[in-house]
Amino acid sequence: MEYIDKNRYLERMVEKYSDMIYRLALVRTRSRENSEDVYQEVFFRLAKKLPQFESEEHEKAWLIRVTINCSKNLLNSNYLKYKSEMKEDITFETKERHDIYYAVEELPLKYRTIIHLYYYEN
Amino acid sequence: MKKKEYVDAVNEIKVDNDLKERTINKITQSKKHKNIYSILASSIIVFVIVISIAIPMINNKNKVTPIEIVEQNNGLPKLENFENLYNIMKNKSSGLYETNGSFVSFTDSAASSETSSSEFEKDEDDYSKTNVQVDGVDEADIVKTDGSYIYYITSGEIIIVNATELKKVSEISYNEDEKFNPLELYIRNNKLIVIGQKENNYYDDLMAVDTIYPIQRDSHTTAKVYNIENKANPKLDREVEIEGSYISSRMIDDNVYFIADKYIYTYIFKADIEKLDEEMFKPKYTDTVIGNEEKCLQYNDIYYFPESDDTSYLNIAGFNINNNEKANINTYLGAGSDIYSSQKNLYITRVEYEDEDERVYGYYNNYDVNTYIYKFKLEDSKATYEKAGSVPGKVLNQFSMDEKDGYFRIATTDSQSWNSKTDTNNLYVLNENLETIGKIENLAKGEKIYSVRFMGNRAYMVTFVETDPLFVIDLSNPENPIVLGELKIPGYSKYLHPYDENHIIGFGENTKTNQYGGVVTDGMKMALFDVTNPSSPKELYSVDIGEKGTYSEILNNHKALLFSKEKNIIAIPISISEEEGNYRTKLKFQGAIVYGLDLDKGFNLKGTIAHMQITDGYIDYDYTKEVERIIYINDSLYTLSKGLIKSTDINTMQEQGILEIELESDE
Repeated sequence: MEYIDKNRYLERMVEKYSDMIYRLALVRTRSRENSEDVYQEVFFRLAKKLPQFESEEHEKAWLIRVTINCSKNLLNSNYLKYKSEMKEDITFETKERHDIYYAVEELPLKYRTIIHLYYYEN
Repeated sequence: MKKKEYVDAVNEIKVDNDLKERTINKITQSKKHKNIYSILASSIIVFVIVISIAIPMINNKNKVTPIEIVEQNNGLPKLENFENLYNIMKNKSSGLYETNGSFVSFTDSAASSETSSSEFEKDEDDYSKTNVQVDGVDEADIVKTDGSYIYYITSGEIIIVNATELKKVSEISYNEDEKFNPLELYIRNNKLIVIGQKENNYYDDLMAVDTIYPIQRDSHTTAKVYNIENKANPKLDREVEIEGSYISSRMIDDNVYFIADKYIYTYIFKADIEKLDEEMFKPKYTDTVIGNEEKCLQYNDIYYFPESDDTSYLNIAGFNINNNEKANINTYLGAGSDIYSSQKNLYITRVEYEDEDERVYGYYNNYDVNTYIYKFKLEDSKATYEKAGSVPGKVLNQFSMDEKDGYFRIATTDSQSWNSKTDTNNLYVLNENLETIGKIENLAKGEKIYSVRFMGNRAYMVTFVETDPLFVIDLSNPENPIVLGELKIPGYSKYLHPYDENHIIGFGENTKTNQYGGVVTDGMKMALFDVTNPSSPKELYSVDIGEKGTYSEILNNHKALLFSKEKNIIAIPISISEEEGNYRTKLKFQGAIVYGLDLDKGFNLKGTIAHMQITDGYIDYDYTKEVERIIYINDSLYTLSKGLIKSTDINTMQEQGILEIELESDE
């Protein structure tokens, strides 16, 4: 029987996966506001469900899955928000980065996700 | 080209700290007061800044090895005084990527090994006991039975149920002020021992908060002993409480040993030593045999593990449930995560990552993983530190370890980097002084251990990446372990259970390759392996259960298994799902699945027992009806869920009765 302080575990998970989840949510929802909602929702679910992960890959895969599900749910219920275009409010250091990020962002959802997960998350 | 730019671009997007803090606050349920919130916010920011500075700091490299320090001191060094604690803590970088341990989960981890001598003894009592790793070493669980009564933890209280009548005779509940959350229990003769945790958020009630002590969550682990001679009226006999979150416990004869891990926030030690109150960091405990007041250990009582990067107190308490001798409490600075206990010795392991390179996307590039093992002799409710040793790699869970004839055997997976292609698997044999005298290394390169089982002079190891080799390893010569044979099959076993000397049951999952070339799970699988001829182990029979998404607690917790060779019962709680289109799965069944096993004919499904009907996946899923354990008394199977206990005839699989449990409202 192994027990670990739940709160410490959750803090650790937030620190570890914050960026990953937020970035993926951003790719899916194309909106900072929606991404924040998704981000919080993913961690709520983690805190509520406290799944037992067999490995780090499993842990990461679960979080990615939940992030995608939450993004989907949010977009389905926020159809109007989704319709509005993403403001170009993320700034990048170089023009290349700016161009490529927004180019990918233009792609349809499925392709964006695949590119992001493949290139970025492996 | 394209990839790098995309990656760089994405890397620039960061989550701002405000969002992180808000989220952490919400999910850790700390109370929020306006002024506390800002203190918490600033302390978390300080914490995060400290971490981001601390992590790239190179660890203090001692020329003397840690084991040598221990030897020089004739044992573990003691803290002696607060200054020493202060200096040690000041130098530690406690990142949130702490190295304290391999995978920890909130319930037990599966896989048991047993000592060979009493492995296949016939049980005299006609009721089931917890599936423990070592005979004679009891492990706590959420349910126990003595053949007449069932003792079960459900929604924060313990209920005592007359099994034949299926009637609750009493309950032990805790009021809100106590904040005690029972986790697992033991029964022995007329005593019921409950181990649980108390959470105190000391500081969130303070209005004026000293910025040096921001909100800390303070857990205490308590063992409560009840006299249950009169089942209708359990009486609290004794209570032993130590600081920290519960790690594990064992009971050998009348002695209970339990362990807790108390985290110490290192950033507090960035302040000047004069500002700190040394009383605050002395480990505290209570033992009602001495009195009700809190006592504390002095700094010259506290030992420390010299090489540990961990900033936790490992508190070990041992006491006898029947006499009134005071409990033996020891504290060690530096934590542990997995434990293995034989009847004589307790081994606590700790994982240490060394030589970390810079972090890349959150994963260390190149590192050495070692597991430190601390051996404690168990005698008369005292756990006395004896020796330390170390081996490369890290263990999977308690079943990765075993003691036989004084030798300590341990199986590890060693990684060199986050790229799992460099993983290797090893088995080490250590003598009584924890010196490595025999080893096998570099098995199944690129794979990880998924389950291990030690049975007498053999070890069975399952590794996996895409296919599952089951290795049979001979340990009859401790100095020369040899791989006798190997069986390669798809899927993998997460838990191996001995059926008899020549057969092992494996519980695990099937796998398949998806359209992208990745390996995914494809339902559960139970198999019988024949190891009569160890150089060619065979899979005799196997049963596929469910499809992708199917899950059972047995994959992570050995206590979820009910197995009786005499009664020919194999039962596990399970959620069975089926695939529905791409990526999606749908829950079809939740409950107990019961099999019989015949060496000639294989597995036969006896039936299933459910406490609820699944009509539409997880819609309307009633967690209070989720079957979590199965036990038997005489010819009845009892399935337990938080809101219901059901009795079923073992032979006919007909329902015999149910007991509805009144539940308190959810937290």
